[in-house]
Amino acid sequence: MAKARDKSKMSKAWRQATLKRSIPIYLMALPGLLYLFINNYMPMPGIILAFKNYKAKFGIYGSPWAGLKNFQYLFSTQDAYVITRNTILYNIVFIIVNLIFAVGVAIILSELVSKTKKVYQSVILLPYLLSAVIVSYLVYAFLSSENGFINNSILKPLGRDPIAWYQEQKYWPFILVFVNLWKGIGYNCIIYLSTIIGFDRSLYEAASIDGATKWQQITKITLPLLKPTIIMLTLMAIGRIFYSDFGLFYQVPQNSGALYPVTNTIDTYVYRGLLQLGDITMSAAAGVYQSLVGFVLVLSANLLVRKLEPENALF
Amino acid sequence: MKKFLALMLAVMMTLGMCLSVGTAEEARLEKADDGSIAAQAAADRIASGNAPTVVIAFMTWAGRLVGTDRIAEKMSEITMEKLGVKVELMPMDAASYAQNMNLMLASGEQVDLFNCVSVGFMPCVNKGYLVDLEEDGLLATYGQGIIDAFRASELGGCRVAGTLYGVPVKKDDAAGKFGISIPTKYLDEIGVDWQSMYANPEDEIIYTDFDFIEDVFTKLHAQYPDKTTFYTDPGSTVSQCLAMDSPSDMFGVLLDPTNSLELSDLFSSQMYYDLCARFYKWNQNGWISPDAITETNATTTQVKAGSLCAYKTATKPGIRQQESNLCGTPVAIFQLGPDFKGSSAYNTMPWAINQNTDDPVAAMQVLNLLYTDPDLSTLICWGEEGKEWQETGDGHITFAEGIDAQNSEYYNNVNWQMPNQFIARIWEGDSLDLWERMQSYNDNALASKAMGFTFDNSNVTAEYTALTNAYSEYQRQLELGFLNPDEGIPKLVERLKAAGLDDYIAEKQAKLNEWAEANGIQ
Amino acid sequence: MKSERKFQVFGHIVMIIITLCAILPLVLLLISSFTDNDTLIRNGYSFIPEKLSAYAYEYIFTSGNSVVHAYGISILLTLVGTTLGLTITTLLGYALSKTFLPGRGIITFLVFFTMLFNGGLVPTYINYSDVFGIKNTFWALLVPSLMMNAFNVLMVKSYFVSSIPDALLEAAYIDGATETRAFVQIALPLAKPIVATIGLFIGIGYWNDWMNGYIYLTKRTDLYSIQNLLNRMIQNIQFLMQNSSSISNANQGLASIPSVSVRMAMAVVGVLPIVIVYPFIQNNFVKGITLGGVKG
Repeated sequence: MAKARDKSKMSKAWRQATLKRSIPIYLMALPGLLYLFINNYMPMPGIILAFKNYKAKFGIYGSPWAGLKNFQYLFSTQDAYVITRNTILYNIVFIIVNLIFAVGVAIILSELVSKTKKVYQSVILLPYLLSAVIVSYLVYAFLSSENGFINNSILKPLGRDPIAWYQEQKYWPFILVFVNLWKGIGYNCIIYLSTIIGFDRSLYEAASIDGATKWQQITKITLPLLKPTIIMLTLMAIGRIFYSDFGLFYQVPQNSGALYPVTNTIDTYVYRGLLQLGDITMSAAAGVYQSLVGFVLVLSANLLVRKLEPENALF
Repeated sequence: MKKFLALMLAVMMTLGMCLSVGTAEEARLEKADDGSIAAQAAADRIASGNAPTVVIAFMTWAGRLVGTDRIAEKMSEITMEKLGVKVELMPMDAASYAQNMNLMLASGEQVDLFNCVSVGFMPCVNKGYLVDLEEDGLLATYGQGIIDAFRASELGGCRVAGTLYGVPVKKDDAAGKFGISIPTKYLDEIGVDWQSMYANPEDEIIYTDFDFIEDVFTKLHAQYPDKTTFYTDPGSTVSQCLAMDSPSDMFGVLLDPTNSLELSDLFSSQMYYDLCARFYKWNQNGWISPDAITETNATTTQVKAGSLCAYKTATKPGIRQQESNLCGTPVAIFQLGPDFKGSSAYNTMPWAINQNTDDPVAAMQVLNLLYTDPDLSTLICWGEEGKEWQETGDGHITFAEGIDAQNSEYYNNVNWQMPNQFIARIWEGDSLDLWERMQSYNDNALASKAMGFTFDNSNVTAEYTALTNAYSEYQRQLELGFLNPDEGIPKLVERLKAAGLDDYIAEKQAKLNEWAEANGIQ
Repeated sequence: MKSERKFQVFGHIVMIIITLCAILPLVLLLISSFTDNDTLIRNGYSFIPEKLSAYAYEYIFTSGNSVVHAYGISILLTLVGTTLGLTITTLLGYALSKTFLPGRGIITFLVFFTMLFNGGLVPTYINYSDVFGIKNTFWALLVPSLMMNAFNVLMVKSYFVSSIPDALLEAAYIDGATETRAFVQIALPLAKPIVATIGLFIGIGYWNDWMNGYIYLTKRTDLYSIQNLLNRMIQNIQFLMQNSSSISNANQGLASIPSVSVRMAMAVVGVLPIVIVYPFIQNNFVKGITLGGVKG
């Protein structure tokens, strides 16, 4: 009896304490939440545009319903399989490849002692800052049939025939993965690098005193400590698995028709199809479709993570 | 004041009628009255002192140039005096125009008059963005200058299911098919006597055949092995080279447009096969650059830089001067196909009024004035006298002192988009009777029976997106001759059929037949 | 120690390869911007061009749409935006890291939800244009999308959760500090790496962005940022190349747009400031190492 009373007294005090502590915290959160509300939640009801037959006179909310008609074009086409497959496969490869390289580079950079590592870090970030069209020009400089660097300065001296790069499908998965890696590595490694720098150095000192090699230190200390970050970033990437980098898949292959089977993604298909139609409801439908699939996948992945590594789940 | 305005209107109407010399016998739309209501409306507005603003939007190549506000002010001087209305100009970058316009139209921002190019006339109609111009006699009362400027059949191009939603632009409606432009310096060097080939001394186009052209190409290729002999911009190859009519899009065309209203599949046709086979041959001969598919530079830019010898272009009066200017060197224009006016002649870039506008009467009156007032038209096309242009003394105008295309504050170079460039001043280099020639050119060209038909494809949008993607996959390869048509075309046709080509064509045919019946065309 | 040295050598080799791959195309970009335009069109891009010319840069810095002015806009926007964005992101991230906060799970989910679902372009535009009326103002560049996003907030939250030991904060409370003081005096100084990182992300986001300017600026050309200017030009070219069938005089348009070398020069110009500023920001990464503040 007495214990129960003590407990309730304690819980009351605890709640009060948390309330007193919570108010300044809520105040801290307020500007951010306000922004989120204005920027993200206020326009969100507009999602129903995807289900409407839009007529300007009635606005978005007054327009007549169209049911799922606006989604039809995404599924009824013979390309539906190709674009979905391309989008998903590329994203999976991107996630894996970018992860390996970003973590690898971050680890290397964090361990290098010399001053030149600052130079490395700055230089590898630069490609991220270039717009997709400029990147497509640069890729063209390398892959152009007549004047391209590869055809002229590598294949010709070796006595090989020039390759019509923009018409051969088989090279492009590799080209696109490489360009995506090239563009993103400087940016992607930053978050891992800053996390690694925050690790307690004494762990490494202790390990090296115990005779651990560099490789052992990396695999036994750094990687496990990085796990939460890796899991979080991967989960977020899974949420975007139905999206693709439009610039990469449309501009870099120069919209070459011969390459469509390997470069056509949901985003490029929608863009090409709607360019003349200018149909805002159909493009809204594509957005909803992509979001919905990403949402379901992330929830599932998160559930999985919660079973295996509960503290690292997103929510 | 009233008398003065009435006189002005009478003068304008007469001017309008003079512009249509030789075609007065063709049917015009009916006017509501003799123009007095419109004059009264203008007078009332001026008297009231409340000047509404009409916002005019159109697209340009380089966005909003520095002098735009100034020009809008000068235009407002005229519109205030004549209509009691102020105008604002809203030029936008070509690439962002469609997106910006869609956003503005959907969000209810003030844009009163705009050109439908790039946004798409049919999509605008479908989304309900446009005012019915004949509602309450809007056009008949306040747009009488427009009625005078166009025949009823020309305005009919902007009708959808009988309702008039837009007004066409005064420009070259017909096009000469399969024109080839070659700098004269190259022709001289390979010893082609092109000067003697003109049918008449004042002609600017040489009509010839493929044998001659292929012979020229062979010589060009031999003489200039490091230059690309020929390039055609793939986006416009089929529409500019073949004498067929493609209403609204390439899927389902009229192969015999002057005689029949039956739609067929272009890609299964002999016409298309011949075209692709010809380009395939040219490609095999090495006349087309191996990089043609991924070419990122415009044809005339390439010629100017000296890397290209010949290219395809559609022709029209004034083409020779135009292309010579663009290439930076005189060119000779050859033409291999007929002059032809397709069904989309009048509905690719109509001017329209936003259904959301506060004052449709004011908007219509401004639009009407743009079609009838030479000073207003010159302002919006060329800019201000003394600042952007000056007289040359022989009736032409040219750049003002110290001004050129790069540093001019208002040199948009989109007169083909302006309501009536025919009444504006004529730039140096074009003949002074250019517009008379243009009008007779338009009138004498072969015309498609489906002229004026717009296809509403809202029932088949899913097929359309699939078809576009399928065509896009093969287009450049076939039409630049990289793929053997014997293999490539069957594959393309198979993909198109799988994408729903037959359904799409059936729908188009049904709509075309409906339209034909409603307009009494066999 | 031997494995240490081996690793250093290995690390340098790997980084040199990657750095070369990154920098080679950039060198090409730089060289093309100094190449004569006609040569570029005739011979394509080359490391050793036939003819050099500084025309592109001349054009950029003397043409009507003042590039220098656009630089100013970009810099102002990035500074203001990064400061504001960093503040609200860090505050929210810290708030969400407090495990005792009632409703924390729900709020975190609400934050995360915005990463997956988006109203779409038209509703967002209507929101900012009609409801808030910020079109054609500086706010239109500052506010939409870029100031704070869920990704950054969750990064900050995760950092505070994993890298700021509770013991430190507990010590502060026992000493009678308020939550605010604890945040400002203890958590924040230890958060330098994440603040620098997120600041960098937000800054790059603002610098690179051209979308906001593209759709919200239809009258105020004096508010164009550098990337906006460049991308307008490039988009116009792409558009004309692809739509020549429906626009009768596409060639005329293409002739009015600056040449290839100018586009290259603008790209260089757009990247330059970051190249200069980034090394300074990098210092903070190094300084943020916890100085052994955790003891028992």
